[in-house]
Amino acid sequence: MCSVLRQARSFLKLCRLRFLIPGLLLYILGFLLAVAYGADLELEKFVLGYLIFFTAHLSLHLSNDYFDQKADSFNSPTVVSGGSGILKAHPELARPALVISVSLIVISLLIAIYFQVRFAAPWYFFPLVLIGNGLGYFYAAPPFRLAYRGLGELSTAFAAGVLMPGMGYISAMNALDHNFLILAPAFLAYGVFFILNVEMPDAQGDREGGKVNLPAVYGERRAYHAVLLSISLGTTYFGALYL
Amino acid sequence: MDYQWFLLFSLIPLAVGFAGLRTDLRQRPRLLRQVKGNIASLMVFLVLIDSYLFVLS
Repeated sequence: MCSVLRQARSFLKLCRLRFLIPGLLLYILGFLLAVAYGADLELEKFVLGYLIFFTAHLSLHLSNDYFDQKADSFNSPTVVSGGSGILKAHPELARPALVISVSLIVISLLIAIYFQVRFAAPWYFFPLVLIGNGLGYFYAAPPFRLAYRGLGELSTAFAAGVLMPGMGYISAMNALDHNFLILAPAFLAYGVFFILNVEMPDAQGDREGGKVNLPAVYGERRAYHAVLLSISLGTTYFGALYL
Repeated sequence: MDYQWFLLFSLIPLAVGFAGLRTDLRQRPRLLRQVKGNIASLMVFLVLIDSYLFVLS
């Protein structure tokens, strides 16, 4: 019984649940933005839309830990980065992690199909969910391994800047219109800000593990300049919208 | 939509981010502290925007 509890605890750590919070905040942001522009506040849409997003988001935590095992062996996990470190201590959890990750993607896609039919969502709803799941899984998984080809920042910025709030917006509004798209450039900038901050503590380990990202290639100092540039662009964009 | 609140809230991560210029990022504990601060400020920014939109809706 004790060992089952210990394994369950390790598995919860593997899921890195704290990283789901920014995703939830972005989803709520998109949903409430749509409501502010006249969409109805429907609990069923909110919950179902978030379930699609939640399963995809959780899946990427598990698949990233599985496919990043080699790179993560060069890093020490921190509160904000470096993987969960659980698979190093519990390699027996690796296979279940991968199976659950793929199962979560299937669940996400099945709920998306139900949502599409139930609420007559626009034609691009399901493809967006598919792209979101693909970006999450192939961030570290072969054959694309986006984080190992210098595409990690771009894919995360797109996911955090467009897909995550976009999922909330489209769930409520049943469309992705200009009221959302006008804010997307600012959210993209904050997506870059987020991923660069997450990558910076792992720069040395990522270099040794073969990951190609800004801090690993150009060093922490230059990466921090990119952090400041991205955050400045976000504020400047809001300033331009205000004027 | 009144974007002045978005602009105002965005000053929080901006200020925290630029405060990092005074940090020696070559020292890992300091780098970690700064990164945690940056991410926390981003969370505060998102919570504030969500709260504003909630009040608005």
